[in-house]
Amino acid sequence: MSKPYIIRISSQKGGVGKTTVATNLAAAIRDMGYKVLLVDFDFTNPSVGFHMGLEDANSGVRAVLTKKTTIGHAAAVHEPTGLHILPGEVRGIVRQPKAAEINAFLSNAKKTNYNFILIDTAPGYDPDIMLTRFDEDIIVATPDVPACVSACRLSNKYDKAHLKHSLIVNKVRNARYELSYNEILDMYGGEISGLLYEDDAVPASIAAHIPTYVFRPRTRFSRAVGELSRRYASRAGAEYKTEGVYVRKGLFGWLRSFFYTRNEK
Amino acid sequence: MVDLVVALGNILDRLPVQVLVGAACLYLVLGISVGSSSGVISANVVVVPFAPANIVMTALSVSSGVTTGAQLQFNATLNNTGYMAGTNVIVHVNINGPVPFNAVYSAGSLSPNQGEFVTLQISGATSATGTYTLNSFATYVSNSVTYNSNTKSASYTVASPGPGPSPSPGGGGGGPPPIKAVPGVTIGSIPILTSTVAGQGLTSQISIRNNQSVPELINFTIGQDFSDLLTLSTNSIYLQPGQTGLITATFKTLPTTQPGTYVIPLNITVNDPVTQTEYLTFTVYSNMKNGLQIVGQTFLTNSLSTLSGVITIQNSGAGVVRNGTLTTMLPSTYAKSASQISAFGLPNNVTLGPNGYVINWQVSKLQPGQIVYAYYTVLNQTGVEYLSYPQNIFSAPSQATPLSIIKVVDISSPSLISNSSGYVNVSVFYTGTSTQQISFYLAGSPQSNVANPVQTVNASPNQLLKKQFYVSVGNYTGTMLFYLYITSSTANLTESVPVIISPRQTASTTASQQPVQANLQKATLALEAIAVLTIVLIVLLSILKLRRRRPKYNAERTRNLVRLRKRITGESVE
Ligand SMILES: Nc1ncnc2c1ncn2[C@@H]1O[C@H](COP(=O)(O)OP(=O)(O)O)[C@@H](O)[C@H]1O
Ligand SMILES: [Mg+2]
Repeated sequence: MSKPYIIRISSQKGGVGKTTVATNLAAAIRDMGYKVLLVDFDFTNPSVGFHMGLEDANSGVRAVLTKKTTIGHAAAVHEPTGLHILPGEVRGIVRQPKAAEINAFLSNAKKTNYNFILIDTAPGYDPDIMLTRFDEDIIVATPDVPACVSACRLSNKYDKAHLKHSLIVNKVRNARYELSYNEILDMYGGEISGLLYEDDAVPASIAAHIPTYVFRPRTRFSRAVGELSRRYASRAGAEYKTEGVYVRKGLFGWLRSFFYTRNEK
Repeated sequence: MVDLVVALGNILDRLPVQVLVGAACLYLVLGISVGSSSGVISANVVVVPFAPANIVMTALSVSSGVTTGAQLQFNATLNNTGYMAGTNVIVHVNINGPVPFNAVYSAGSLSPNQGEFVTLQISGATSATGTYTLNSFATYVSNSVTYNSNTKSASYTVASPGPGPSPSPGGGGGGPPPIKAVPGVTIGSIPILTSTVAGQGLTSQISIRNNQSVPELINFTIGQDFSDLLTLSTNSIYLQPGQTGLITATFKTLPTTQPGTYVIPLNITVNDPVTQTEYLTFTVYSNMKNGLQIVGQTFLTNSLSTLSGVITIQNSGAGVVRNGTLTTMLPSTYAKSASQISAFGLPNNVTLGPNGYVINWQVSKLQPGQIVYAYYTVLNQTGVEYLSYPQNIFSAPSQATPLSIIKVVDISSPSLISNSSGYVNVSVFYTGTSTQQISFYLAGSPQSNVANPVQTVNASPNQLLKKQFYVSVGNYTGTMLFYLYITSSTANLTESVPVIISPRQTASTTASQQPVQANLQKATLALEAIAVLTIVLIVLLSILKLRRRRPKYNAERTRNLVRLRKRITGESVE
């Protein structure tokens, strides 16, 4: 784990919870003791700052992209978590950065001494971005047809660009009309690394400007984020033990599976 | 009827589950209060906890400002916030830095709501300068499943000690250099590693044998600057052929000696001018700790096959130390098997762990100021060349939070009329980890009498204890306060028990009360039956509702999705 491990969080569809996943995953990996940088690459509607209560911070990303300063100088420290954050610029009309600027940013990011860099992005698909610059991509989708179709499209594109990717299904409610696990798997074709349940704690914590993982650590959402963070950290070579944390056996586990397993084919 | 169930199901679909569960609880509470307030029917509700232990590491700190060779103080607080005891609690300490180091410490068991403060003195974790990160978590067993607690991290920086008699930089993380042969003589034993606390000293012996056929004069000189730290009983010794001589080496420090690791050269000159230099490693710990502490450590070897170590342990605190443990870790290169290591002086066991050999010493009781010694020898040692320091971890005895091991589950007092009697029922949950005696004492006022005021029981862990006291009251009306004292060797509890005493009715009204009571009894039974039935119905409907809500498999939709996917990926559509 010498170089920073860069994880991009993406989706073609908006509002599926990319920023929510990015901020919480960053907080959880940070909680394991790693040095984590969270970057807002959503130039259209940056919102990492709102989620983290850093809306007054200077636009870190813009200054670094235009070479006015370095990542090390621009990163704001988020006191409650110790995360380093490059928030986006909140303005009327926003200039999209050039591909060369983004490339230079990513080269410089690789030279920092962070263990993990998480990059939140705008919805859609930007063909100019060099996908090979990222170590892996997390696609976020909700269990409905529009979101999963777009996840399928991204999966297809990333496969061609040889970018490793996995899917987090967010806002799961276990409702009758939702797509089942197997249907999502069928559509997406790659690895589904976890499910995050819809939880009132999420909008409540966004209102409080603190990641849910920190604001309501005991909710099902936060525990699932914790488990996901250990999983992603371990892929970057970090050590973790999952034994006994989330896997329930015995009668209790059976009772749970009775309510929560998806329809099998 | 079927329609009714379907309609009910639809209504339930719109209700959140929390409401249903809340309603069920309300019914349960109502049902029970109906039962007990009547004073006629007694409902015994025993709640069996089934959620496992949940052990959380709430705090972690390590000493700051340590210098090379100093002991590292590690403090962690564990709390069990679950409903069952966690057993086999093991604290894992992983240190990353210039010289990585791992340790485990067994913290026993934790009852529900119990906290434990773990203090470890770690030597060997500060042998080189630099920044270290320390991660710690606990594993524990509950209901035969192994769980991990959260992980806490801390970091510390080891600096080299300030100016003084030059402790060697880097402190010998790789261990002292090997013993070499001196021509013509054999070094029988020589201390290669000694440690002590600033202000104290230690002696050990150097034995040397003349192997030649002629008498030999052997001279010893100590490297410059170190003559304050190391003194020898003599500087030269004259040995006949085959004779062995002993020299006493005294390591002495002043209270002002800088903590750190010193490597002291000792020149042994035989048959002048053949000189051999041996290096003796000497570690000085700072003497600022309270409680159980290692005040000295000597590690001796001879050039043949035996190693031996002496650890001096002192209680430098003001109170008596009970149930302390010392863990000595020897690198696995030291010996071929655990049976080659013998340890004595203190009760102990020797095992081979993943990080080498582990000697666990028991310090069952130590008075303030008292010193005890722990000894070990390694026969047929295998690894002098790869020698690195033995590491010691001290654990202070754990402190259980008082009062937490006895929990009052229920106290029910009777509604009495003056000049009558009744029962006070007490149930208490004992969550201690060992069997112990618990006494109950119910004290009343002068107008009352308790027939069996003191009751004693031997409680085993996680036992629900039920006690009954027979109380009679005199000519008194109003609320009478009784006091219940629960005592054990580690926890005490006092509860006040109010008993309401109503005035006695005249003879005629008392007679007419009998049928009223019987009717009341019937009515309450019916109410209870309805409450129980309603609860069962609600539970069944909740389960039905949860099942109905699961995503529904739809073959048509799945086929459509596959077609969509093929259109995106460009696979041919059949
Ligand atoms: N697991 C969840 N439970 C409840 N609400 C969620 C969850 N995840 C996201 N949301 C809500 O969805 C909205 C969009 O989330 P956001 O992370 O900003 O999406 P994106 O970055 O993809 O546009 C937010 O208002 C948030 O409150
Ligand atoms: Mg967003």
